[in-house]
Amino acid sequence: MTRATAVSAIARADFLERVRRYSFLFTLGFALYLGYLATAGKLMLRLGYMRGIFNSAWTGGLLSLVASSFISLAGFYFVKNTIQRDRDTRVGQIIAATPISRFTYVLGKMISNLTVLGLMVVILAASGIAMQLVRGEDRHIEFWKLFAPFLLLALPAMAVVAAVAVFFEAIPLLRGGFGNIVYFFVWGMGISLPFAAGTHTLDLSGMFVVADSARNAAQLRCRTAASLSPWI
Amino acid sequence: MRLLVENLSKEYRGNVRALSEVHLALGPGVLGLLGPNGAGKSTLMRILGTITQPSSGRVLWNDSEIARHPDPLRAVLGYLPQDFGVYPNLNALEFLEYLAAVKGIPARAARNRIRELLELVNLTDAIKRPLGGYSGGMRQRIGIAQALLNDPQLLIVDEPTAGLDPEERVRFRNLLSELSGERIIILSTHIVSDVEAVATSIAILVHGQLIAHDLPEALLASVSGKVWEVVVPSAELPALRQKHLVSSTAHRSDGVHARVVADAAPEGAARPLDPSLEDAYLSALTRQRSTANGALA
Repeated sequence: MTRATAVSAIARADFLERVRRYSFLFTLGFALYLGYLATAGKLMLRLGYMRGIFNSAWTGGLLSLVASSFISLAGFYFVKNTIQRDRDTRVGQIIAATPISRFTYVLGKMISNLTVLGLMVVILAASGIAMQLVRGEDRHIEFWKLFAPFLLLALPAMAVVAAVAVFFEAIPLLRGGFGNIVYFFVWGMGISLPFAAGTHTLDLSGMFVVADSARNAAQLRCRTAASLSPWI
Repeated sequence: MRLLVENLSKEYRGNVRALSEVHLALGPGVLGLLGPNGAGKSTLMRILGTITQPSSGRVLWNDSEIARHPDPLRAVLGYLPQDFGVYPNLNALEFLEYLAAVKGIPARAARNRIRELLELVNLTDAIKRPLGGYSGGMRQRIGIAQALLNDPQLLIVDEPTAGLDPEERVRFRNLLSELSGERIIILSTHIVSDVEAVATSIAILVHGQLIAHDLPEALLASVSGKVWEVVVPSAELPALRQKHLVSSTAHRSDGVHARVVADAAPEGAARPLDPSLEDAYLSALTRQRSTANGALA
């Protein structure tokens, strides 16, 4: 029996237990609603006085930002209960009497978190096809351009959130309400600091990446876009 | 195969002493651990299950101290805690597959073992139902199944018959009898009839102290010639209880048939009876209380 088998067993059981709860559907609905707001033009990413055409690249970039910014907040609170659940359900004492190591257990929980958050991102990404078609500005679907931002921006962000959620649960001080407040401020700083500092280094949500990419694309078409800066 | 408990003590915050200098040496067989609620049985089970650390003393599994090296024991341990839980949205198969993987059992072997165990605990019909919809007795049977997944050498079951109906209890006792052989089974309970049928040795724990650890025959011998049946009118039963230890009563047309444990025959027409383990257990508890009260006085 390898450690990988135990890790995957923990992740699978934890994942199934979570996605079969009504609260998962609620969180998923919330993510899709945010996606709808973004494509309906109620959550906008603007480049100066311009916005992108709703083609695959723009839709993918916009929705991946929704994932890396909003799901990284709501998703954290949704997944930050995996170890606590083992305490509450009293399954933990059975697990504690097995030879499984602490590292394997925590890794399994982290992967479960990532799977749950990743599933939200995948569903949001898939909904991007429908949203692009509904918006109808460019009906040509380019899969790589649509999905690459999710793969390169949103999923890594979810991996960070998954690990941070397990870390918060493992530290007694951060386990409860205090940890929730701390995360809210950490998340707020993570989102706003790159703008305040004007640096790309701390761009955890990937907003600068998407904006720069869009601006570069715009520069190819229009020289006047060269002086634009990103803001929402 | 040997489990040795040496001078084991456990204190919780606020100087609450749950265990005091407990000593036990166990080989293959079934130990029935008896004691009233709050005697420290679950604390002892949790220490033996490597969940809780003792305040002092040590536990040796095949000469290896489990506090320092828990893994050799955990690899061969089956543990059913008193208040264990399940994932309510998993079904029996998923839950047991999960625990089998955590216990290090290869997937194919686990699947076969799970089928066997679900049949053994009579849950094959409910295999795909979410555990959240199980009754208390069904959950308890899942607990028993998970404890047996790795065919344990040391099986610790804490109040395993709680929530089981009479038929299931008999089935569980028979299962324990079948399992006892080349393994150590510790069955903790406050229900004497549960251990009477299966225990090869019995330990009695009261207020964290081990007041007896002996063969069932030896415990029975301690009350041999001291158990009587007395028939009294219902109105006289309270007075009889005040004078003597009454282990059980049964109302009949001629009055209350009371089972009395006493060194000498009670007044009136007392008929000697063969002692039961319950008589021996209650007698030991009463002696312990008298000693404790005497020490306080």
